[in-house]
Amino acid sequence: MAVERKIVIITSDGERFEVERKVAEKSILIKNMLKNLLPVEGEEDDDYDEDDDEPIEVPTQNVRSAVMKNILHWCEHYKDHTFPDDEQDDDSKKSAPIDAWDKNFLNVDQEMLYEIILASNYLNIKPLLNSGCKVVAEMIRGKSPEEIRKTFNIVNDFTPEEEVAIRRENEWAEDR
Amino acid sequence: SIPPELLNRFKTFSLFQNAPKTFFAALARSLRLVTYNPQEYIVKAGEQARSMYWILRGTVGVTSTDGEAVYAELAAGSFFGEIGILFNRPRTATVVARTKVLLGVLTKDALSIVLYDYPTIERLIRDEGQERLAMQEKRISRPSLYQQSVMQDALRPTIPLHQFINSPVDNIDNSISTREFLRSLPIFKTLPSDLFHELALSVEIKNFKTMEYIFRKGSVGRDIYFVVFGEVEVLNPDIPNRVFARLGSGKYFGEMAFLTSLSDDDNSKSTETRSADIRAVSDCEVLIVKGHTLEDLCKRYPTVAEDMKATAGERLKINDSVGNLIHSTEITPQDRITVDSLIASHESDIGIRNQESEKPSFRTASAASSTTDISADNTPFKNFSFDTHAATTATATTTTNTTLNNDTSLIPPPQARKSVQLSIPTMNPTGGSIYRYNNPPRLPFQYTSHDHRLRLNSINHGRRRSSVLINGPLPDSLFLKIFSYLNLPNLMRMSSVCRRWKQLIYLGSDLFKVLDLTPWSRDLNDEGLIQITNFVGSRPEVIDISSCFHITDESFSYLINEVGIRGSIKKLIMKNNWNISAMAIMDLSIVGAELNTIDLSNCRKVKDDVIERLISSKYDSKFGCQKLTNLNLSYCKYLSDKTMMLFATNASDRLTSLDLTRCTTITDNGYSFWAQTQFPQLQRLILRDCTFLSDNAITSLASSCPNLRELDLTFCCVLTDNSLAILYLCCKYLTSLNLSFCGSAVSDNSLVSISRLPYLEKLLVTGCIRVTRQGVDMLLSNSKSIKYLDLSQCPRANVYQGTNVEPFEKKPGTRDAYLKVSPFDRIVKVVL
Repeated sequence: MAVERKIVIITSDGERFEVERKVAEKSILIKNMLKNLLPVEGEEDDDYDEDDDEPIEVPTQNVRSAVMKNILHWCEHYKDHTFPDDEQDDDSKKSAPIDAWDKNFLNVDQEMLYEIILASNYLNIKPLLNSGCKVVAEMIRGKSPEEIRKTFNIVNDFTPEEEVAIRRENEWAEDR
Repeated sequence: SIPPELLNRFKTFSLFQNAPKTFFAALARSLRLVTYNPQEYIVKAGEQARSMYWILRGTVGVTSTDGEAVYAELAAGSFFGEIGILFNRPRTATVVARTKVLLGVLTKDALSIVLYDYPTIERLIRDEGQERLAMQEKRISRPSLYQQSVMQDALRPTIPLHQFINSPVDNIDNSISTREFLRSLPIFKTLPSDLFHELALSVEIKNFKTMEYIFRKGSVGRDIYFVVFGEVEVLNPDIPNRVFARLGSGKYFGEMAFLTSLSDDDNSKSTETRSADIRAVSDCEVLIVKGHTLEDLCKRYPTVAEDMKATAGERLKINDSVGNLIHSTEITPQDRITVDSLIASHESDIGIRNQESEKPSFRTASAASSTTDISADNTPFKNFSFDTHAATTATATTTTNTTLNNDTSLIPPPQARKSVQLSIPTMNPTGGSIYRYNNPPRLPFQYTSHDHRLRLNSINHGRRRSSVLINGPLPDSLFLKIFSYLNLPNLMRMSSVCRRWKQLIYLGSDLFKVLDLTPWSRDLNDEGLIQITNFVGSRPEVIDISSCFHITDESFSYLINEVGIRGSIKKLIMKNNWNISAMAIMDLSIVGAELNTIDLSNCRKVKDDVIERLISSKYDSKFGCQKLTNLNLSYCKYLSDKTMMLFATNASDRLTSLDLTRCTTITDNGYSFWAQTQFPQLQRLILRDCTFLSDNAITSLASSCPNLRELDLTFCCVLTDNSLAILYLCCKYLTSLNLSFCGSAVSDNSLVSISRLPYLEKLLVTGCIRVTRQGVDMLLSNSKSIKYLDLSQCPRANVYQGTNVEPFEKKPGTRDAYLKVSPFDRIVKVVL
C-alpha cells in the first residue's frame, strides 16, 4: 500500500502546516475537499502513484497561522476520537458540561477564542465550535446586561426608558 | 323568576338557543343591568378586561381609540368583551353607545360561576371567543413587514410601518361582523353551525388599497374572495381600458378557478389559474376562503358542492347557448358576471337565496349585465348586522355606477359590455392560455405574527437599525448558537443588552422550540408565565409546565392560545397542573391541531368530556387534535368507561401510547368497547395500579392490540394465569412486560407461557410470591430473547421443588446478577 500522502494546510499569512490526513479531516470542510481530490485509503488507484510524494496543499484564506496552530493542536488531540453523530438529541448535548480538556484548551484570551470559534465554524469542526460556544455562553451566564456589554464591548443603543421597559416586560427573569 | 322581557331578550341570543330555563335564571341573577347614553364609552382600548357585555337593547359602535375608525356596529342580541376575560387580554378597541343602550354586564367571576353548571354554553362562548381571537390575529398580521418583502410586489403600495403597527385593532368585534358577514352569504346560509365555526376559523382577511391588484389573470390560485366592504373591479389585461364588472360588499370572485379545480381533480393543479384581473376600486376588505378549506367543506357538506356544481353546470349551459354569439372567444372574461346571471336565473332551482338578489341596489349597480333581473320579486334585504355596511356600500356603488356610465371614454360602450356578458369562459380556462401572464406563482403569505412585528418595531423603532454599532465580536449566527446554550431567564435578561441582541433573541427561530418551565415550577405564577409567553412568542413546539402548581387558567389559556393560534404545539406536558380547568384544557381542541403528545397526569379536573373534545371524532373534524396519538392520563381519577369507548370509536386507528395509571374508575366494561375494534398502532399501554381490572379486560385489550410492545400491569392484583395465556396468544410483539405484584397471575406455569413470547426482552415480576426457581429456569432456558428479569421481592425465587438452592450470584455492591444462559449463550441481567 502506498505511503499516506501528507496534507499541507496553508494559512492566510502563508505559513504551511504539514499534518496527517486524519488530523486534517477533523475539519469537515477539508474532509469533503479531500474526498473529491483523492480516493479513500486502500482504494488508491495505481495511476496516481507517481504523485504520492507530492503533498496536497489546502489553502485556508480565513485563518491566520496563530489560530491554525491552535486548531491543529485540537485536531491532533482528537485525531483518534470519533465524535457521535451530530444528529443526536440536542437537549442532552446542550446541557452536557464542557469537556475538561477543551475547557483548558480554550482558556485563551478573548480575541483568540473568537478567532478559534470563527475558524472552527469556517472549517466546519462541530465539536470544537460547540465547545467554543459553550465557553462564550459561560461568559454570559449570570452576568448583568451591563457586565455583558463590557465583556463583549457592546454599545448600549437603548434609551434609558426603553431599557427600563424591556426589563419590566421580562421582570420574571430578574434574580434568577 | 325572570322578568318576561328579559327572558325574551335572552332568547334572542343565538348562543342561548338551546339553553335551559334554569340557565336564564342563573344568568339573570348574576347580570348587572347598566344603561348607557348615546356617545357614552362602554369599554376603552387598553383597559384591563373585567367583564363581558350582552346587548339587550340599543346599538353600540366598535371604534378606534379616537373614534375615527368604526370597526363594527352591534345590535341587541350580540355580546362583546368576552375575549378579554376568557383569554386574558386588555381591551384593544373602544366601544361606544350609539343609542341609549341596555347592557347586561357579567363580571369575570360571575361568568365562571354561572357557566360552571352549563359547560355546553361555556364551550360555545369559548369557541366563539377563540374564533374571534384567531380572526383578530389574522387581521393584525395582515399587511406585515415580511409579507411585503416576501411578496416583492411592485404594485403593492408601501405603507409606512407605523401606519399598520399603530393602527388600533379591535379585540372585540371585527370578527363579529366577519361571522355575521359569512352568515349572510347565501352560499353558506344553510351550513350547519359546526362546519360554519370551522369555516369562520379558517378564513383570512385582507385589505387592499385603491387601485391595488388582488390577483392577476393567469396567476395560480383557487381561493375564493368575498368582498366585505369597498369595491373591486374585474379587468382583462388583454382588453385594456375596459371594466367588466364592479363588485361590492357581499359579492365574491375567484370561484371559477376553484370550480375548475373541483371538476377535474386529476390535473387540477394545472388549471387553477385566474381568468381575469381583479383590482380594488376603493380601499376594500376581502375575506379569503382557501381553496382547500372550501374543497374540504364541499366534501363534508355536499350541499355546498351541489350548489357549486349546479352553478358550474348552468354556466356550461349558458356557455353553450351563447357560444355562437361570442365574437372573440379568446377573451377569458371575469368569473363574476356568469355567476350573477346564473344565480339570478336559476335561483329557485338551486334553492339558495342569493344575496345580490335581495339587494336591488347591488343588482342594478354591479350586475347590470345580468340576464335576468328578479330583484323585484324578492324580499327586501334585512340582514340586521349588515344594515350599515350594505347601505353605505350600496350608495357608494350607485355613485360609482353613475360615474361609470358617464365616463364613456374609459368605460366600454353598451354593446361591448354585452359581448362581455356573452363571452362566458369555458370550463377549462387553459383554453385562453396564450393570453395568460407568465406570472411566477405568488409565494404563500408569510403572516408574521403580531408580536413579532411589534418586536421588530420596538427594536428598530421603525426607522433606524443599529447595524453600524458594535454588537459583539461574532456574527449573528454564532451568537444565536451561543444563546441556545443559555437558559430562559438568562436570555430574558440579555434582551436589554442592545437592540441587535434583543432582535436576535426575540426572533431567533431556533430558540425556545422546547419550552421547559419545570426548573421554575415551584414559584412560577400567572404573571410570570404571561411574561414568558410574550417573550418566547409562538416558537415553542414542546411545552412542559409540569408541576407549576401556581399557574391557573388565566395564564394557561393565554399560553396555549398565543402559541397555538400562531405556532404549533406538538407536545404538551402538564403533569400535576391540577388548578387548570377542564374548559381551559379543552381549548386545545381548537389550537392543538398539531398536538401529538399530551401528558395530563394528575390534572384532576380532566373528565370524559375533555378526552371527548381532544381526540375528536373521525366523522366530525370540527374540533380536536387530529394528530394526537400519545396520551398520559395517569391519576385522572374521574375518567370513566366512556373515555375507553371514545378511544375505541374515535382514535383506535391512531393511538400509539396510552398511560392510564391509577384510572381506577375505568372498569372491565370500558375495555369491552375495545374488543369491538382494533388498535393497530398502539404499542405502549400502562395500566399500573388499575387494581380492579379482571381477566375480561385483558381479554378485550389483548385481542384489540395485536402490536403492543410494552405493557405494564403492576398491581393489577385480580388478574389470573388466564390473562397471561391470552397475552401470549394475542400480543406476539411484546418486548417489555411488567407484572409486578400480580401475584395471582404469575405462577411458574405462566412464566412458561411468557417464555414463548418471541420478542420479550424485559420482564418484571417483582413481588410475585408464587414464582419459584423452577419457573425462572424454564423461562430463562426457553426464551430466546429475554435480557432483563426483575425477581426482587420474590421470596421463593431460590426454591426449587421445595428445596432451597444456591441463590444467583450478585455483582458485589448491587442487587444485580448477570447470568450466562445456555443454549443461546446470552447474558441476562437479573435483579434480585
